[in-house]
Amino acid sequence: MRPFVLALSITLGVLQPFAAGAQEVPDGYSVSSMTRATIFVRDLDESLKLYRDLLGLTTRIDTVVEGPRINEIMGTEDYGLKAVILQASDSLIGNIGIYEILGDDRSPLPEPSDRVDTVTGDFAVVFITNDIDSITEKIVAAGYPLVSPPMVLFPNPEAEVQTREMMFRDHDGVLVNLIELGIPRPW
Amino acid sequence: MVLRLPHGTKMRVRISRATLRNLGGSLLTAALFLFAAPVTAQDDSSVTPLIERVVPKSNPVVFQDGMNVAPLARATIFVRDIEESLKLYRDILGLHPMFDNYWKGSGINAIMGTDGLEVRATVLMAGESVSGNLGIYQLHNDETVPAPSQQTPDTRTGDFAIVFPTNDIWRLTDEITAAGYPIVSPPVSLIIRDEYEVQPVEMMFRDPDGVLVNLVQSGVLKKN
Repeated sequence: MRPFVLALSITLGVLQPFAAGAQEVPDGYSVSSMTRATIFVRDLDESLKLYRDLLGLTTRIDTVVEGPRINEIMGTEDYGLKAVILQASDSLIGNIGIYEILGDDRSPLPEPSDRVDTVTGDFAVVFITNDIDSITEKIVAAGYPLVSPPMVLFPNPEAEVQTREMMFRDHDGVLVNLIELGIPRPW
Repeated sequence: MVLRLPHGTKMRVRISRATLRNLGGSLLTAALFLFAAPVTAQDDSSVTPLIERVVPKSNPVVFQDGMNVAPLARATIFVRDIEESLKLYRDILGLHPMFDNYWKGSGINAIMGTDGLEVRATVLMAGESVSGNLGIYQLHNDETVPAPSQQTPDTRTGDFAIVFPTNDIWRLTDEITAAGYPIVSPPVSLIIRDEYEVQPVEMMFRDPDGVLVNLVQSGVLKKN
């Protein structure tokens, strides 16, 4: 076994062990729903200000991994990994991983996109919310690049309250799309 | 632009001119979003379903007490070639489409901060779930030249990864390898644990857009 292979196990396995039966694969499928999307961020504390403090996700796992195994998997030397997994419920599905490679001095980090439009190659995380206006106020106040304020994409004449959504970029240029679902008419 | 709010508060907002146009062409329109009725895109939007939409029935969105967001509904990749992406996520990994739409008009452009683009949007899922899904979106009429996708067999700051449990990691790995995706790690056991008859394993590779895909297979506990 190559050394870096075991390091991968530490990085991804121990942080969220998938014990037997942890997440069943539905009948007829080879994979189950996505357990998490992970962003390898430039500044973990800055990312936590958004995802934990502003969006309100709670910490499932918060750990530091160091040593030759983690460096083997990353193809580096003497680096570490600070890893936080955030959740909106107790479910193993739909979590967010916020990982920071510590001591990364290889080359200048790529500049994160702060574009206020969407381009090919972008990556987006999409959350349903029940408080889009309050969250948007906080996002605007915090200065995140706003791609779109809350708006109705496709007006639904059947709805009593329309579905609205907004989008902005996080500290690493990842698009964050918040959707507040509408309410159908009672008849 | 700077929004002047009650009590002397100012907010600096960066918003594209394209979005303003899509929302009706007015700075006032954008400024009112914090206080007024919902902003609605101009009525030139169209949705062309390419398949019949699947509406999950048994798994409604639930907000845990005290939470204002639900678990991640989906991660969306704005891909370079949707057919190439579908070869991986639909044909190899076996995800099923929830919907596959072609969107046009000011609504979709407003939310994306763009002007004049069209989008083919496919959302894939395993079973019927409102969370943990995968969006594969391709922009059309986009004149921006995308950066080359990251295809190195290592992990870098700025990378994105999506993680799926699987029950068929060996067959999937064979197909992924045969298809030529860059392998970051073949299937390996996590820490060897005595209580397992079959150890958990996981592997990782890059998709055509450089997104890291991590497949994880549970182990089997010993009977005693």
